[in-house]
Amino acid sequence: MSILLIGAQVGLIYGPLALGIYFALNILSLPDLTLEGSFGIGGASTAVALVAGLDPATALLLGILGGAIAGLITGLLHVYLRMNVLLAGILMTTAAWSISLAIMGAGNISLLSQATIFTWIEGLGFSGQWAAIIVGALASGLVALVLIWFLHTNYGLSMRASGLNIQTARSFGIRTEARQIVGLIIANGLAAASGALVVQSQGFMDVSIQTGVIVVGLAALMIGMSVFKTPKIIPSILGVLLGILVYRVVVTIALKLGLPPYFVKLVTALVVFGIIAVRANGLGLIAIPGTKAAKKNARERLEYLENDRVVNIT
Amino acid sequence: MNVIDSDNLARDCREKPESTFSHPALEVRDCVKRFKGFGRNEFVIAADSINLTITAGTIVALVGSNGSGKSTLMSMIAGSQLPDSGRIIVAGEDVTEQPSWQRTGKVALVRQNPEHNVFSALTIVENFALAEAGQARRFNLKRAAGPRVRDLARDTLAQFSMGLEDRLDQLAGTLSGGQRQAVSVAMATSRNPALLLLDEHVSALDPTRARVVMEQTEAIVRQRSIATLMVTHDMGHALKHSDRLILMHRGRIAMDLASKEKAGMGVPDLLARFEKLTGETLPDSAVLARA
Repeated sequence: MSILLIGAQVGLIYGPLALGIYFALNILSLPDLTLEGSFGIGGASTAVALVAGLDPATALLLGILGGAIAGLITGLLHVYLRMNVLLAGILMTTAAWSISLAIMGAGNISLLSQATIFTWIEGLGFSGQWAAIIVGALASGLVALVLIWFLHTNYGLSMRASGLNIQTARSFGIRTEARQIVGLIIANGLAAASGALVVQSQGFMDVSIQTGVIVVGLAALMIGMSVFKTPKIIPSILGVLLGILVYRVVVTIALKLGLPPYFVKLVTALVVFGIIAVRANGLGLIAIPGTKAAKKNARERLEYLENDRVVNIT
Repeated sequence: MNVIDSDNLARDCREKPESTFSHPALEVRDCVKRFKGFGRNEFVIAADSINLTITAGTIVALVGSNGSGKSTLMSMIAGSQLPDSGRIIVAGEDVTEQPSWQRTGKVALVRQNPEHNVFSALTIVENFALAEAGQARRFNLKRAAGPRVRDLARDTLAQFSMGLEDRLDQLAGTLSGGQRQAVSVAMATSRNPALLLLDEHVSALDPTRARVVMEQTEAIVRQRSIATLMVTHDMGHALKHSDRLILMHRGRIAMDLASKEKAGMGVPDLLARFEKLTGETLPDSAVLARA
């Protein structure tokens, strides 16, 4: 039970980030790494806003705005400079490191004396753990509901179409480049929301919080996509939220078993490897050589290799 | 399978207001398109000063061997490729410089690959909702698959008698190739475009399905009297389902047969004329299509 609670406590505030990654990678089919930088910019913006005396909600909104601007720039780089999104994202994330430091004016900011959304909820009589769970659940739930509504509107549907097949979408009258830019703004705003929440929750901002954070969302996405294998929106979004919980529980268990904290990122990578391996190979991976399952797996691997493509992003 | 009866079609055509016919559906003027070849400074001329006018309400079949420039011409009209020079005018409006997404209300395109016409990961009714919103160019924040779109989709699909009208909420990926092409034609024509482009839209289907979808396509197009430019490699279809037949060869229009000239012409006659004109034979698929 306590493991589940710790998982929810630490995991749910990463819900917006995971849904942002779902939005960019799954809905838009854009491998946008800017999300990682936006997470940091969101944290930096909210920290500076809190220190400046703004209330925690406004600070959260400013954090989201910071990430949204980063997403806008990546979108413009893609559309107007005809830059591959992967490359644009890598560059933007590198730049975001400096931008976060510039916003903060220091390597880290302590928020111990500032009120946050979490201290608000604690003020209502909840423990620190439950305050984190409530804020995380509200944030993830709200984002999930808004996304479910949005992706079933005409505009949202045109965005999904742009992520499925650009030529077909354009022949349906959809200006795909506009959908990509708007979509990247949304996805990065969501990543920044998680960054802002994490900073408010832990009571300090350090520029290094962005490092590797995209993998957390990726793990949630991969777990979620493996639970419900459907392109439908509602099960996918629920799957991603479930994924973030499962991931955090796995990490919590790993730590409880005595794994040193610096192994968390290794565990994360192993979780993602494991899921992808199972998804791609099924039980064929561990089948005894010479059996039917092993032969089938070998044939599928050969087909994969024969159809492999290089993607040049320069 | 219901095929809409031809008397009704004729009446529907007559009832169309006269203003619809004031402009030709399509005018292609001196369109040139060159591609870079394999060698340095080597160019392949895919469209060599093409001129083509299609009057409203006619069905034009476009045939030609591989590399004759059919696809390039279609792409230039649809907007996915831009001509190096020349103009493309649809229903009196110059669309040469317009991106493809702006041409949607005027030009509708059904491609050969069913996967490129319908979004498999969306439900059938969501596909219709997109086609609807795209036609009006109104991608707003209202619920996409509302009652109005559902009714429209149900009515449009009912005319195919494939039972698709009861499967609105299933993913379009569950449809067969023939069903998808039928749905694509329904969606494309429901927008009442000035011009419908069919790019070998039945060639990925087996012969029976190809015949059925082709017949239904013609019935719908005639009923709504939509000008149609249809690329096909099937000479039988080209003769049977068109008012006019155009043959392209090496980026030029090599033969243009009006309704009267092609009347009474069989596939062997057509193939013979093709050979005489170009000194080449058509690919086997065209010959086999006689059977």
